[in-house]
Amino acid sequence: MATEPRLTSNVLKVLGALVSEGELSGSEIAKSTNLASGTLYPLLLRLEDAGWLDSRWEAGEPSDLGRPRRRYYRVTGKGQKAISDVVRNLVPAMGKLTWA
Amino acid sequence: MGVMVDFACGLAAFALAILVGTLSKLLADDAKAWTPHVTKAIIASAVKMLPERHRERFSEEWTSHINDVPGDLSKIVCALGYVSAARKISSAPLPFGRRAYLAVLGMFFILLYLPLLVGLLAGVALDTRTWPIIKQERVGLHGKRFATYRFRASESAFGQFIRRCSFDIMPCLFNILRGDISLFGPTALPPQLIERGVLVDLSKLPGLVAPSQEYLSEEWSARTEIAMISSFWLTVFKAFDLAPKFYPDLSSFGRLDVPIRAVVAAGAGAELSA
Repeated sequence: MATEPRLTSNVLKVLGALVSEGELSGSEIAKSTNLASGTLYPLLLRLEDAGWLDSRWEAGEPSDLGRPRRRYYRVTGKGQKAISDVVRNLVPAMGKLTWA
Repeated sequence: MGVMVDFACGLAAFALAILVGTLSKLLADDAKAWTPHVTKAIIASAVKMLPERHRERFSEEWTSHINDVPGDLSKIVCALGYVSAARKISSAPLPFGRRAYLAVLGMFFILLYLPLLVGLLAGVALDTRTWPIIKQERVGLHGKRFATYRFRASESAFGQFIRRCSFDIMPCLFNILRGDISLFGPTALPPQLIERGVLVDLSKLPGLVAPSQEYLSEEWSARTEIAMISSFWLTVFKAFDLAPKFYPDLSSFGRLDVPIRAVVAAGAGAELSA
């Protein structure tokens, strides 16, 4: 079983981009998060192995498209739950800060 | 006279500027024309570093990503990033359970053979009159290189004895402890052989004992001993339903006798199926 990914700032950037856009290709995520390819793809694979992301090839064959297919990533239910947990844990902490 | 010299200098500077401009344009055109080939070559070498199961996917995905990157220099920088990505993906650590299993296994055999290891260390040092351990580089899981250690086996009678009994491989138990290799699995080869195109399954953790090796020959060797002890314990674990997925593909043992197959299979399953 894959271990649960740590919620680093890069993980949050990727999840944030995918939550706000729905489904993005690797190059679109790189553009949106400013992550270098060397950082982005191991991270995407890790999140996919953990079940937080799902990916699919774009429809059509490379011969028909005239170029290699893009691979699109989206957040799964498990990923959504992980994000919700983070938000749920953060909100009370922020509340305490407000009242401090 | 001074006017003539100034004129000649001006002319030379003008000619040089034209030449530099033309050359720069030629170089820029050349670089532009070569960029797709360079990026393709970098992606190909990055893909080659990946585990087999990811190669097809990332070859297409990374080529499509590069097409979306504007600018030739950015394309090359992005392609170089794939090399780093491939390195990170291929050196992903073993799952915790497997790592712990190897650590326990390695420690068990090291403790079991500690007197023998110390004796061999002293024996080889006396026999060879030099440092008794040699270090060799091997290619492991997903192409990761690691250092493996062996006892130096000389041409003397003692050297031949330790080689015949496979005692020379005993320090590899520390590689099991470190998680570089396991007990059973394909032989870890030197990088020179891999570069020469010798086919080896890099998607499996290499092992001290390969299924097709001579370890079931009648002559006793440390390999046989280790394999048999491991099989015994794993059979015990299996009896208590503690061995996950310990059912091997018995076709790997086609050349072995059926009773021996059953003993070895008990221990080899997890190693070979992982």
